[in-house]
Amino acid sequence: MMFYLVKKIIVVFTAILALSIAGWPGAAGAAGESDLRYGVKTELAPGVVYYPFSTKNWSGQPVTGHVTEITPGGELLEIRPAPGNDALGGRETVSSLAARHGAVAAVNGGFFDGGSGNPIGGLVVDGVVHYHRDLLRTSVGWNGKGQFKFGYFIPGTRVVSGAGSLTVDGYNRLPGAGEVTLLTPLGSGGISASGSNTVVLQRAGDGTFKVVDARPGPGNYMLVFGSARAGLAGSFRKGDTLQIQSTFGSGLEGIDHLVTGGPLLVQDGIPVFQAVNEGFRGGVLAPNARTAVGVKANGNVLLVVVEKVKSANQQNDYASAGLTPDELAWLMAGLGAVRAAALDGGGSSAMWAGGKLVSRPSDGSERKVANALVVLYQIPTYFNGQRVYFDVPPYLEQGRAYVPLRGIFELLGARVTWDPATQTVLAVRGERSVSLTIGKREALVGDKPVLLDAVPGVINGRTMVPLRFVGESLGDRVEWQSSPKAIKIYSKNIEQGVNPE
Amino acid sequence: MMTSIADFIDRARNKFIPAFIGLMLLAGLPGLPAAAEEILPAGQENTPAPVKLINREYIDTVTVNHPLFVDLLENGNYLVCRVGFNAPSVQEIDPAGRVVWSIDGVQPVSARRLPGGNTLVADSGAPGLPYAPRVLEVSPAGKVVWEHRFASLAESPRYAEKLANGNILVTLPFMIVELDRQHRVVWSYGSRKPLSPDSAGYLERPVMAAGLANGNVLVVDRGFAGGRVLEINKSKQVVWQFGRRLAELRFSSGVPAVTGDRVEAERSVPEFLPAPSYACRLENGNTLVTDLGTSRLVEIDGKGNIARELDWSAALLGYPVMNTWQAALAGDRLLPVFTLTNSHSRILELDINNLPALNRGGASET
Repeated sequence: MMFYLVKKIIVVFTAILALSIAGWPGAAGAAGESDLRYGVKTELAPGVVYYPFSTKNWSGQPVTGHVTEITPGGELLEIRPAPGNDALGGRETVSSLAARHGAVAAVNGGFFDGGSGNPIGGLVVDGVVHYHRDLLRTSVGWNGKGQFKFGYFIPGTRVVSGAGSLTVDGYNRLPGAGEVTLLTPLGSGGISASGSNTVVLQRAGDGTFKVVDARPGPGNYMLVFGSARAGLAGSFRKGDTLQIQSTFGSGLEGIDHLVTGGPLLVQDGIPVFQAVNEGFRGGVLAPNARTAVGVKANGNVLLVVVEKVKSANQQNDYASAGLTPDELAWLMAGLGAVRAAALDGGGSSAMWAGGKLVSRPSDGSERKVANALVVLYQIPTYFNGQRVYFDVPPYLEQGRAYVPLRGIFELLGARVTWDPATQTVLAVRGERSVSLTIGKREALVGDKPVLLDAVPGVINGRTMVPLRFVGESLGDRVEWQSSPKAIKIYSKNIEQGVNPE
Repeated sequence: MMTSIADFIDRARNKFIPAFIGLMLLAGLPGLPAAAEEILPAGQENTPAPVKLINREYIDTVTVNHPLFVDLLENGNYLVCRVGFNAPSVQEIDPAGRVVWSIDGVQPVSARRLPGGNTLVADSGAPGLPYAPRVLEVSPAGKVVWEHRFASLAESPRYAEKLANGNILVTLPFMIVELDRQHRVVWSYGSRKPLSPDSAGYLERPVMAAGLANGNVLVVDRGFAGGRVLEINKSKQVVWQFGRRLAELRFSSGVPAVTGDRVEAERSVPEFLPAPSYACRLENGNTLVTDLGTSRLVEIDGKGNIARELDWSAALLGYPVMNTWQAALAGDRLLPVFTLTNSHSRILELDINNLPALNRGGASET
């Protein structure tokens, strides 16, 4: 009897406490936005702001999380999907992906298969479909200006040449007998296809593709013809120019990038509850760490990570209890999203901001994921037409572009060594060597002194040199594109369409 | 990547707040029956009833979608709504397990066979274009004879049924609308956008609205942290309701951390409906409500008193249930639908006359 009296007293006391703090029923706002507490805002780059938040879930448990809010459209500002290890099936932590892309912020991307590492859904990068598995789940697509769309990903791809066009039946997989599939640089490394039923393509700087007569390398695309359509391969000739044209489904028109997540969380500013209808079940419907992407009415993009972390002191208590998909929908609406969808969650949820992982992994350590959304503020750099990234990206200072010497020289096939005693960098490629010393404008190219535009600097341990020096030193072609700003480097030693290896 | 299902289930069981119960006891919302005087200890584990509980079991091994809502047709077949990330459909399945009729291209959340033989389907429209949220009436030949499309996934229907006057009563995320055949909204309750809990027309998460013989509408509002069943008249007044609105506390600050066993706590307060999913009005004027949270069938009289509580949990013994989706009523049959941890699903057909009364145990004072 005493036990039940004590229990009752505890319950009633708890209720009184709850009422005294939370107010009587009916007092709380519908969307709960008033219960959000925001931390200090930090500008990560022009147009990119990070801030933490705290709130409660519907069970009253504490919930903490992180927001990176991006005002898209600014010069040099991009949001891009970054595949782990630059390959389908590759896995890499968000921290690693962010660091090697020189990102100002990043979150984990779409769901992926625990076995193959392939996306559960789709992956589009720069308008090219790299993966598609037909799933009735929400995909998140966006263009280079950071304008996001949410919808059902149903890609269609045609290869168009002067002689006609053909439809691609699949991506980064071998074709069935009557099919034609497209292998892309992200997936071709893991798929063995060669011989007379293949056509090797090289992407040009203008987005077109050229048929090349070469052994397929990591940078190449390839059309693979099934046995019943093998004859078509012979209709392509070296030097032919092709276009690969893709559509992505109703409502996803004009996107450049896409990952598949789900469920849809917010539409028209209203939380929606589509998790079960998108085929989520089991533990995925339970409270957990979450990642979501949303768009505010003003077009700002919200990258959100909710934590699930046990309390340091109590085994069964949570410092942050996580959210269900339904609770996440309300949270995103409360954060101001008019449209939003979830990405992969649980142990995959992670946010990098300002050079470090700001979220606490629910698994205790950071999980390697299939892809991430990286927020870049940098001068896009292309090497032989292909986008490349550096942990310290190129930047502009007083109208002059600086590039990371080691990263660029290594791309160009040079071996770079650093002598800390003399603060000297030595790069050697074949018979040619380049030497420069930090703090000095004069460099040596072979035995010949060369005066740099400006003194080389060091940022985060990386030697940054004026762009022009790259061309002057190893003799490769370097272009500065002023609008939109871009750096284009072409190796003179690499024949177009042939991989350096 | 998906994480451990068992881990999730384990975590989910620790969500209930004893404060909610205390709050219910204290708050006493107007129109609701008196609160229980005290929290009773949970009853002992119900033992399986001596009679055979399961009349029929449909074993479903499909894993890319699963049954969500089931109706028992007069011919003995099941009308099954299958949702999922691949090949969702409405299927009519005969007692031998054969699919004898189907509608593809829908993400159905409810389906009702109409007296003339047509089928009324509420299609959530997930995940978006070219699919659209809609209610459609389909002939036996598969022809869409009437369709109402909603403009946005924010109006994704949750349930639809045809009223005696021929209009369609549709349950939307935060409101109920009655549509005539010309697509005009002739009656509604609630709002397209969520309302604050103290607003007239507040519905938290309605999952079903059924027309009553008296012209009123019976609504099952599942809620997010406990739900209710309410009867609304044509003047949009709540004339009867049962259950509690606990969601007022959602996202509220300062609520102590969760402790206690959810199932025990839920079972100890009869008026609390953790997850009501279906309701119907009986000929005697009482209302039958199925509650997925407690595997309970509750009969409530017009004054809001519980006339009886039946327990179907014994029918689930031995099943490693991952999600229970629905438990609809069809005459004297109860149709629990659930998915197991191996992603297979089951539809059980239970005779409610054989269900044991819920054993609340009583306080064994020492």
